[in-house]
Amino acid sequence: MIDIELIEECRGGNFNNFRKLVELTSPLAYSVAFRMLGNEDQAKDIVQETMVTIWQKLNKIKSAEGYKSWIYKIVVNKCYDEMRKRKRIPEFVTDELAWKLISNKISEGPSAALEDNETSMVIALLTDKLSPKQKAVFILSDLEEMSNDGISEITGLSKSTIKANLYHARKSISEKIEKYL
Amino acid sequence: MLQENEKYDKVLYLLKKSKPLLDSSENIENEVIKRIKNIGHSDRMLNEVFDFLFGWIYIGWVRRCLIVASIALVLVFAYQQAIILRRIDYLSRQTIISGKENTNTHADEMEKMLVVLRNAGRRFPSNSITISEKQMKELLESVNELQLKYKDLENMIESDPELKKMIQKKLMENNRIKINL
Amino acid sequence: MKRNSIKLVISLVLILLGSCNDPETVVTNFVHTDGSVTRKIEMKSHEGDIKKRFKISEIQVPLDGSWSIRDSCEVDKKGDTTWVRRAEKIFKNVGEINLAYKSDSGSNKGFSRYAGFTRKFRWFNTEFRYFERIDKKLTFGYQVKNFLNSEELRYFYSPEKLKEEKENGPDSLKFKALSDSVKHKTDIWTEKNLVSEWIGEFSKLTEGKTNNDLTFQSLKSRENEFLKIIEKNDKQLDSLWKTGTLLKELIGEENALKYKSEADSALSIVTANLFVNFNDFSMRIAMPGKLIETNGFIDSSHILQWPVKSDYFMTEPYDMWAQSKIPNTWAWIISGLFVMFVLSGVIIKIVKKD
Repeated sequence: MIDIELIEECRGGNFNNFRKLVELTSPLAYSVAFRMLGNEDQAKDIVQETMVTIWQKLNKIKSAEGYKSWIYKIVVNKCYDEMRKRKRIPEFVTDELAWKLISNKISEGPSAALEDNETSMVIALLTDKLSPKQKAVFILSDLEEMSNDGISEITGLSKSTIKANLYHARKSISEKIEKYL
Repeated sequence: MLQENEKYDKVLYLLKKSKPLLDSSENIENEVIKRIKNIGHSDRMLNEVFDFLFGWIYIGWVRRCLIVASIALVLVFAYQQAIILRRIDYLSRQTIISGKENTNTHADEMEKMLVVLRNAGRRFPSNSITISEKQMKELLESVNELQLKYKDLENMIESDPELKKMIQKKLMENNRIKINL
Repeated sequence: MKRNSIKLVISLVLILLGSCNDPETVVTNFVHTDGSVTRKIEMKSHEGDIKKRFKISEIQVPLDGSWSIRDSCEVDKKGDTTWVRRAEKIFKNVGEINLAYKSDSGSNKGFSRYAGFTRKFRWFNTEFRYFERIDKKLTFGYQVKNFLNSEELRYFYSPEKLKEEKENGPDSLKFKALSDSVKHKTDIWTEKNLVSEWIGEFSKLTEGKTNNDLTFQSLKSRENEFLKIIEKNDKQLDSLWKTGTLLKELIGEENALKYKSEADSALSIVTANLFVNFNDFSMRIAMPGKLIETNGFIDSSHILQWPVKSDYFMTEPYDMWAQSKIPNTWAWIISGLFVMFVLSGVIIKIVKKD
């Protein structure tokens, strides 16, 4: 549980308290970063960079909610930067294989789950035609289950823009699923 | 249609359930702490200095007070300068006395120089010479002094008939010697 | 004509009272920012006799052995000699100048004169004000501005040099007419002052002793009548006064007999105050920094000039003042830095908000 007291304790320059904050914050940041980038090492780098930025700007944080939105904001922006930099990663696994995997997992029932590398593959498959913004909105809304208000605060987009991006993302993904599954 | 949504929901459920897990939180913590410590004293100092100098921008009442103070300063400056300029403008329309002043002027100096030239019997060589103003002033001062002393001497001689006779006799003797030569 | 003869009498008296040996004097005050004043006096005389030249008792301003003095002479084309004495002294503050005025043994020692200096810090500028004042002589006189219009007033206070320039310049007719007008009006002014002052002094001396017709208000209300009586008898003023005839005509026979001594005393006071033995000179002031305001005349070297004549302080104090300013550079820098600092903070806030 991240509360404002912990953040205030960190402001004094206490590394131990900050370590605790990192421990609590990293899973949230990693989840979004990994889903955005699909690469474990890159996601971990993003998490580290995010925490360093947090350390430098601790004075600006006024509340726990504000802190959370801020984390996501930094992570998403850093993911955008990363996505702009890198070239299209060559597929090591063919689309056919990925669809087969999805199909198998679905047929296993509700208890089925994907490994991290499988998750990366599936998300990449489903979102490869999406723009970075559409991908971010899809992940934050449908996978991280955030509200439109929260997404608006994180991405800086208006609610109508979020709705539009979400609509396009869902449509694209649905069409793919319909076609290949 | 229902089947489409069903497939989509199932894929989504699968992805939601397969939340990426951060396995090496401790590594990340260590890395972050290491990076924070390596930021460098100067960077920290720079941030501290920046926050010290501009920390007030985040405090509403301080920011407003300083803005009001600087606006007031600018207004006071503008008002003062306007008043002064108006006074100077009014002054420029006041009567100016032209021409010679009561104290020594260049015209008086020139007159004196002419007197000196006349007294020197115009014995300057035909080609022009350059004399500095300082030298001319010294020359004039010594001429003035000489004139004063000469007058005093004249008065002394006039007041003493015996002295006068002696001097006249001497002068006549000198003239005779010159003629003989 | 009648007025002219009164003025002529006054002028003759002044000439007789005054000394022919007073030098042509210019006093220049170089005011410094710390309030000290370097005073320079330049006196010119045509007096050949060295013993009579530049006598302390004939000099218009304080001058003594503590001054640094330098003498010289100038010979013009015609061979006429002008003796020049230049004196200089640094006064630490105006207090020293005022002390010098108090202990003056020169020709104008009977006149109350003082100097003043103020320095005001106005953050962006420091303003300096220097003045020299001569207190008025008459208590019950009229201000000259009640008799002259603004143009005439300017002309009245102008230095002689300026008057000469104007009277010999392209608008000479206009300025000659102006000069005549000023002369005529100041004659009237002088006469009115004479009468008004006598009324005031006489009332003071007879206060409490007289009946209602000799109070200050009642006499003042008859001032114009007094003037007419004086003008009517202007050729025999002195003798008529001595015999008491004039006084009888002014205040009635009974009062004239009763208050003859007071009337004579009042007249003595008035003549002493009105016919002042003041030797004219020129005052100049050079202020530190940039000149912003003055009531003087500016010459080509931006030094201010005033003629100093007895007329100017007859009925009101004569103030010669100047104000200047020097910018406080450090204040400008600090203010500029402060404004820039706040502005940059505001810009940073806006940028960060974006």
